[in-house]
Amino acid sequence: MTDQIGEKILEKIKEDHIKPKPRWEFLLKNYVTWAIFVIAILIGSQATGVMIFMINHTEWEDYIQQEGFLQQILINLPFFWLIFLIIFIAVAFYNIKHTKKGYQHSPLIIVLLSIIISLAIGTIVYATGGGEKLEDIFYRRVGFYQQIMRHGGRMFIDQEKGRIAGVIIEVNPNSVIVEDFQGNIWEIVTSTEKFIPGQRIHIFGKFLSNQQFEAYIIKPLFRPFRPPKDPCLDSQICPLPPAPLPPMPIPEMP
Amino acid sequence: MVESPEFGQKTDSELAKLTLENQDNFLYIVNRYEAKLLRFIRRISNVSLDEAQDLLQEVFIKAYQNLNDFDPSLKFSSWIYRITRNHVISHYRKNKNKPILLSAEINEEVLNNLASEFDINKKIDQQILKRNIDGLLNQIDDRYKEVIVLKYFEEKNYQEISDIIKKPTGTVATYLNRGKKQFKEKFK
Repeated sequence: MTDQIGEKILEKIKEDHIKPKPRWEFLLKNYVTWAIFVIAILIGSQATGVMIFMINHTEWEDYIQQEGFLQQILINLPFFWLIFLIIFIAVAFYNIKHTKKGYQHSPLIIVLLSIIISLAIGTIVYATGGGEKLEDIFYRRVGFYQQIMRHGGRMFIDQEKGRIAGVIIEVNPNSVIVEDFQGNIWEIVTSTEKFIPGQRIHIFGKFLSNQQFEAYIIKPLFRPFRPPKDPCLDSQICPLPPAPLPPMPIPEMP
Repeated sequence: MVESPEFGQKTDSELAKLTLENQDNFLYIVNRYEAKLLRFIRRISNVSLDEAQDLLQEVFIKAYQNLNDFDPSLKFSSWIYRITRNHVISHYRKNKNKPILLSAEINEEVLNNLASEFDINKKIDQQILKRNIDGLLNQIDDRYKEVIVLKYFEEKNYQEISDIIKKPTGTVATYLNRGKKQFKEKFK
């Protein structure tokens, strides 16, 4: 039987011109698998960066003090980015399991390690401002993400409880005009130096009338308020500072 | 082809390398693994001898095509057993055929191994075990049964089983313990 099978196999190999697949094909497959793992971890890290940014820039105590605070907290949790991270950790997990020796590691260790790496890189992304930028890009350019954020905003709005969520569309000397996520326009009387058009905000206050709202607290959504840019940072626009005065002559003592 | 005694002493990895230079050398690998793999195929599937031989032929051709994928840090036997196992599983999936373990080739050594592992000391119990082994093993979950076959029938160690079924050694140990527990319960 031995020779029969062996000879039969060799015959078939020769007849059908069967050749071993080239080594580069296997190497390429392995490198691609590793590359997808690394890319998935990097993308997951970006999501982690955005999550750190959003959690860090939400003043939770303001929401906890409100009626139905649990709902308020849920609205403000970055679920979208959490799901984003979970998807990419799953992709990373799948790929590392399909590397040559990936099966040797426990699934729990792979997942934990992926989370730790994502957290470490995500912290760097957040610290360098990447989290804020990415969130902003998504809000402006990804319709689906904008819809989710607007939906969260609509869940926050409750005129009876004095809550509005929307976007600043105009900044006047003594008020800001806000379009809420339900499409209503509000004039909020407030000092306006820290607002800029396009800023997403949450407002706690009291409904007055004629689309006027008195604000007690205005919270930027995930973003710190920033003072408007100082035009004097540009030396071509600003006058040069006055030249220092010449030193006073010291009177000679008699 | 006449076998050279010099080639008979070469390691599996060396033979794999030599096969890439000259396909005729693949015959040495076939001769070395043919009987073991045929037995393994029959143990993890319910196919007839003819069908098992066809599967074996396909396994060797697959192994030949994938020779460049063999990682010398693994044992060659683990690699070729893995190919065999995967091929049997895909054959089973294609044919929707549930693998049923056959114990036709159970020998005294395997039986003694099993008896001592499962604390079956009495001669009469060993006779019962021998008569019912296939029925008993078929009542165990497939994933545990496979590990029991590799450990006690194919005499593979944990690392080799891990490399064959592509699971961490910790999982292999868990499967083996659960399989033994199920086996003992069924035997009672």
